[in-house]
Amino acid sequence: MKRWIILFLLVPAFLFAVTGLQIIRNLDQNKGYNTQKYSVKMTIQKGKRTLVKTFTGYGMERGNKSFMEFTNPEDKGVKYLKMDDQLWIYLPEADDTLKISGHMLRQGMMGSDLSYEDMMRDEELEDIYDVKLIGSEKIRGVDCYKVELIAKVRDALYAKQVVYVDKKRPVALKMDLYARGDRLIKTMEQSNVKTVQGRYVPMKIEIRDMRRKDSLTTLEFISVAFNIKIPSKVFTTGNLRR
Amino acid sequence: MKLTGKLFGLAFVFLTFTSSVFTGDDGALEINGLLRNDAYVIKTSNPDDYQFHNVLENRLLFEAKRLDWKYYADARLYLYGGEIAALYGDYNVELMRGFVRYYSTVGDFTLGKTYVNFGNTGVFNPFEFDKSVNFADLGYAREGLLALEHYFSWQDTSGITTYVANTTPEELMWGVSPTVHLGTFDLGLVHNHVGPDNNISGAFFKGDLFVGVQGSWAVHSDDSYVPDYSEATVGLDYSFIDGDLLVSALYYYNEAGATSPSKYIATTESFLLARHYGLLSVVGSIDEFWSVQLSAFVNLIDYSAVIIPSTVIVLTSGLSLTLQVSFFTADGNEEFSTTRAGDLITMIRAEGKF
Repeated sequence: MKRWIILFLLVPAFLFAVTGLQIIRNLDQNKGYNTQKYSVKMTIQKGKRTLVKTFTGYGMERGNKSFMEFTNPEDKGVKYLKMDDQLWIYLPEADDTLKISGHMLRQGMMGSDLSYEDMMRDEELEDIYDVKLIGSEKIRGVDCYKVELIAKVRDALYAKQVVYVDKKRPVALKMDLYARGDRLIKTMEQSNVKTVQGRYVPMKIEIRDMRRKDSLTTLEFISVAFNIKIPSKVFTTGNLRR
Repeated sequence: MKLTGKLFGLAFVFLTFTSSVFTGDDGALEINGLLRNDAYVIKTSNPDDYQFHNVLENRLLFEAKRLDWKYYADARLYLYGGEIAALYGDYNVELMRGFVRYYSTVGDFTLGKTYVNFGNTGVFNPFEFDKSVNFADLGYAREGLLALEHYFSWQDTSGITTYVANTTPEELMWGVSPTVHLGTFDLGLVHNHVGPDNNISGAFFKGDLFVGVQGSWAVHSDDSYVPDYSEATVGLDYSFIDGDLLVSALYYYNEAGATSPSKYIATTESFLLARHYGLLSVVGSIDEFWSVQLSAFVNLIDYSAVIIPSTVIVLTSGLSLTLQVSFFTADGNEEFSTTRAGDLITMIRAEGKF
């Protein structure tokens, strides 16, 4: 009888147990979009020193096509175009467009802790990583699933990620990003989650590059919109000069 | 000609301003600026002889944009101090660029004083019109050409640029450059008619083969297209520590260059007189606010070099300090010798953008 009671108690747990893959699928689904338009304030901090930059951007095909334009006075008119894994930069001082070598995509964008790839790549995690739910943890008081992602393709941005996903909403509140050798290189904390067109969007992202002492880059989304009509000519090298 | 350019420039800036005022918010004029002070200390080859030059640059950038056009103007006031004032006077006003760019279904048209950029940007670019090199300031700004330029894009990352410009009343300068993107490469062809019996034709590429690669080749010919001499570059670049350390190397070949130091026709204003050169550059980002760079130009005929270490410190948004020192290694008849250029040139730059 006792055995039957234990079995009875376990059945619902099996029926409703979430898997790491489901969590990541929900995360991917929430982030999925056809097109995206955003406006961002980026604050770069090193100790007590601070730089503030602003930019607007467009994305299409989950970041395969991306266009960004800086709007703060010091960098005004600097633009980036990313098509698949190719990147071009437009420099208004020279009125010239330069192709950036592929190996430079991991460089910090405009001196920040955020690489060009971090900013512009947004593939489905399920396609790139093997997923395993490894536990639960509270992040800033919110109950989160702790999911481990191990890269299964060679060109993955990070060899390993540990993602803390809100149990009530498909949003990652924290990500620990590792290089090969299980070396923690960056942490990203996402907060100020708002609902935009039916999806949860963290409006504030804080990135710390663990290789740089006292370093912090904060992205604050001033506006974001999804699945809007973006003319195809936006994602062209010709548009960089406009 | 210069005066005409300035009058055109002033008229353009005025037109920009008045047009923008009347167009309201959409197309409203935006003004940004830069204030830069360059202080140069040159140690000449004479013992205890130093020269001091100071250039204070006030730059105003005018821009007005609408969906189908934009105005852009870059006007500068230079105030000179120290010994450079004896050469250029106390001040100078320059309109570096001033153009209208109109976007149509048959391409983008640019009219005014504008840059015409063909090939891979850099000191050794065979397609660069202005071949002068300033080792005290490698990135010094050039004046635009008074030109009509057209760019037509036939694919997302491919297009063709054509332009006409009048450098002299008798002669039109013109050129055409189609570019395509294939795989990981940007490829381009160029033909430039620079002046009477002066044509430059060739090709260039930039792309990725594990490391970044680039190259260019150009033939100088007369109007019958009989080749005179050729220029070529080939370069590699790679970065380490996630892009924080960038190393690049570039080889430059100039068939018209001298093959021995005795054949140099050297002046203090002109450089790159030999047939073979190398450029090695290492750029390191210490952190978000501090970067260092080491560049070495090597004359591969006489093996003299100019070595340029520099560092940039960003103080806060828009405010930075640069320290750069140029060392000339040789002391005889070599190209990069202290007898021609001095023992070293130190530049301290303070720059504010607003």
